[in-house]
Amino acid sequence: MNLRLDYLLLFGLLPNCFRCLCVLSFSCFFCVKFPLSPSVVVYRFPLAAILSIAHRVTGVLLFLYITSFSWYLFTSFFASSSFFHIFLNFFFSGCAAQFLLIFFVLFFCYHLCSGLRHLFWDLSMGFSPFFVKFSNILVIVAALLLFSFVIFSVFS
Amino acid sequence: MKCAVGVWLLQRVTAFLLLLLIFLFCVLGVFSWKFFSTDTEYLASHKGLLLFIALFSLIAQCHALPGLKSIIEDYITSSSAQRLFFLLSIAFIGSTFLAFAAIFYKLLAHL
Repeated sequence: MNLRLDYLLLFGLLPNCFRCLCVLSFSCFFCVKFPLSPSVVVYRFPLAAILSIAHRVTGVLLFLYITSFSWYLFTSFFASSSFFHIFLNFFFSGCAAQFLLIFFVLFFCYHLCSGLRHLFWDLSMGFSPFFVKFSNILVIVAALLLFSFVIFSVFS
Repeated sequence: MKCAVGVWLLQRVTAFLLLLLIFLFCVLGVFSWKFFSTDTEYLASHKGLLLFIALFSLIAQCHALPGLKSIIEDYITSSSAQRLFFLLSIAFIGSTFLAFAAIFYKLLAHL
């Protein structure tokens, strides 16, 4: 991996076709099975990056849930016999609704905890490597605790 | 630059408002399964709860808009597709606002 990266950096300023030829000749010469195209984007994600991506994904899913919930309320009040209401009714009533709701609460708890960490970062707090690693675990644990608390208080 | 700071500020202010709303909601002690009720009769008779849901949804969507914009800019390369998705997200937020406005108009007209 390091060899390939060094090699690519060495020839970074050369034209693409020449660079490919160099990589191919290098791999043939040393009998190393390198991919034909540079795979510098393939790397192990750190936990903070995974949590950041999860923050974005949960945000989009929460946005979609809230929008469709408001549409469902609107159709309940104004067009309860429409096809759109019957379609949304599948997701917002019965077992499917509870299933979706549990995921909504889980995503919401995670997004809340992760968002609080982002607010701390905005205040220039917690940038040290130790605190970042510690807060990664803290966000996951706090989200799970909050989720279990909400589910417990809702169902009891 | 000014606009970017404004968008950043909007997201943070709405985040604080959402936290405040959740805190108020927990303090009021009305957190129950009924919060997720889709029973129109129940919601019509509990306008405070409906108002909370409406406020929460609208502030959450205002909070989501800058985030969606940055996601669209990060993952979609075509500028026309970026514009399309951004307009779509604004349309979603507008439809939510109109939906709650219509619901409250109907409920208040019946008073």
